[in-house]
Amino acid sequence: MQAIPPILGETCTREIPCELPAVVELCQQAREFFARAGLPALEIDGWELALAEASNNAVKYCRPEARTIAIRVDLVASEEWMEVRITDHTPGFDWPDKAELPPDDSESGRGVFLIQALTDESQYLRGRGVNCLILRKRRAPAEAAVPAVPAVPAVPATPASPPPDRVDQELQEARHTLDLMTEELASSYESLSAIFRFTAELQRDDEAGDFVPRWLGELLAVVEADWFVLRLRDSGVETLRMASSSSPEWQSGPIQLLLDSPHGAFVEAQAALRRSDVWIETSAPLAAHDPLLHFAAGGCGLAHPLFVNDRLMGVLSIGRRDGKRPFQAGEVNVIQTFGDFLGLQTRNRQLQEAQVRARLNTRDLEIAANLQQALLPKELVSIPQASLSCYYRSARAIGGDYFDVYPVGKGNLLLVVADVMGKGLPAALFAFMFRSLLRARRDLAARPGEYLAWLNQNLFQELDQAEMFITAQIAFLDCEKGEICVASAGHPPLLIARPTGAVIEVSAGGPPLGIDADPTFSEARQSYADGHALMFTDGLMEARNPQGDLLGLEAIKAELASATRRGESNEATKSRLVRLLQSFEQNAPAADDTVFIVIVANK
Amino acid sequence: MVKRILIVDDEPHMLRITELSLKKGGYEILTARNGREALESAARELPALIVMDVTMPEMDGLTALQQLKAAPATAGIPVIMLTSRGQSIARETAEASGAALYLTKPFSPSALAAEARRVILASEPGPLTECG
Repeated sequence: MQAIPPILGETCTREIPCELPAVVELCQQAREFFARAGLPALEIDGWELALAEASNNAVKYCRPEARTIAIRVDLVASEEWMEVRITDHTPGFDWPDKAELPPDDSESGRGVFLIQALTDESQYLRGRGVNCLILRKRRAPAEAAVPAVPAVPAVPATPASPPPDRVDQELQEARHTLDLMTEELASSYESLSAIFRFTAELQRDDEAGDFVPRWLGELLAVVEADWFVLRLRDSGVETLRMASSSSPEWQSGPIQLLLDSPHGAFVEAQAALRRSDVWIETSAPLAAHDPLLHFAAGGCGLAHPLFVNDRLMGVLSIGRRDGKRPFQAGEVNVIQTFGDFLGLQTRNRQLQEAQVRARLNTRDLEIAANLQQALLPKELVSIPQASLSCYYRSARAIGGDYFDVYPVGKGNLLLVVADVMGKGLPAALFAFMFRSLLRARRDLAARPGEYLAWLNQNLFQELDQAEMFITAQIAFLDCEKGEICVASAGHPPLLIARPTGAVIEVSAGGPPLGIDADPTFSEARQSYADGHALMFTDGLMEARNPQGDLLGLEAIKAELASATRRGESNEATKSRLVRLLQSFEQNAPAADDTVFIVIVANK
Repeated sequence: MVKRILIVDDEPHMLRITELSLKKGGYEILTARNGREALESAARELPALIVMDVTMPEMDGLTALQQLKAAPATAGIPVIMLTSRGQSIARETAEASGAALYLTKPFSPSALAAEARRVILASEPGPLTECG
């Protein structure tokens, strides 16, 4: 709701007791004022009706304990506008932007409809125990105005020479009204200028960090408050986290937004859960352990929930210290305006950050994908003694699977498969480091255990710091001896299937790289000359079907045994394993990268 | 609040691998080196999940599992048992004693993290708030 600026003009202020007969007298006095101001009779009738409706409501719905307080009515006449302000002491209600005519059988709602129909603008400012209804109507053009006949002829419309005490009284009333209007104008001006300044500052990223405390510091000055606490809702979690307060040294843990938690009784949680302002006042002490006790014990204030499109952004609490007066309607309006604007800006900032994050993530994944592609061998080397086939499949996110095959010495081969824990750029970077180190010490190829120990020695510190690890398997294919020498670092076993159908699991080695500062890695030697060997990463045996079941090691072993018994080629064996994978997954999305290398001895 | 997982394994490498695998999921990790320590830690800390090896000195994982399930305070904590291949009897006992799941070693970090998340979610009650 936008505040309407006050108008300046001739003013009449009346304070009437909270009783219906007083309303009748008020209406008569108002008619006199309207007549003196030169309003046509028809408009005077309309204003009288609107004033009577509003004043009757102020009397009827007044809180019992406030019945001794006078109802104040200000009448203001400028050249263009007429304005009526009624200050009531009811609990207040939500003033509709545009009231509909209620059904014939409805007991209520007609008054508001009538008031809105009889005036051009209306606004209801709500405060704690005191509210102000502002009604305004543009005056008919001067030439059309017909001098009104006063309803009470006994009082002259424009007294020629009013008595001095009457002049003094009117002067005093006018000054008082002017003070109120100046105060409200100042508040509105401060609010607007702060909002403009704040919006301009938001464009400057270098100062983004402390805009909230400065912004709320301005609010404290505008409404003459002593303290504020801003909590923002953690995204996706039902907690309110401290974002800022007027005492930067003050610390407070998150508040859980659970109906039945001990935090549920805290003022800030109440405002968020009830989705409405909650007042802090001496007559209603705060719950034990309420964090706001630090500021508000014995004082007054309110907690205003910040909603944007029905989404809770946070809660702004603000107040005055012990002994000071509660906030008035105009001040509450300013607090709500500041708070709502802050909620909106917080939401905008969140959306902007999410966009930047999404862009960075995409870029991160692009870089990681490029790195990963650069790591993989462009073509497989071949040797007379064995034929190789490789399969590589990247999961939806970039992972850290890696494989390499390169010739060593006299017709021998080094085969490596590795899996860096995690995904994205960090995993790709570690895979890159692993490959660089691996290629730096080809002289260790014939001793895979020692090779792994050296790799671990050079990667341990970085992996440990990043809390990551790498599983790896190094196999040295000794073509002269027809043997394969294997060492693993926490990696799934290498499989060798014999023509008999037996499948051997070769799993010598030690822990993954990055787990232990100085581990030893054992080696195992097996003949590969009469069978099929398979190296793989865990993506193969942990492939899942739509029901969530794992493929498992036994299924892979059975397939490899069949291929060996049938004497299938390396490519046929690879196709067989790919078919196994695809038929098992039935198009279920792969969660992890999958790599395998088939090694078939040439007869 | 950050959820806590208690990992129980006497083998330091396995403890570290399991810890790193689960830490990436945003959990706070508590560790114990045998069944007895696990019982004390579980009663004191009431973690959201316990991941426990079967073979351990002092008190093995199956005995600890049975005692956890017998105590009202810890009976509701889901337990994932880690078994070595070939320990089919241990697996059957673990199932009979109320383990939420068993995993055969070696397991991949992502598989363990996914199972831990699933088991914790399955053990939680529905949301309690009305907040938009």
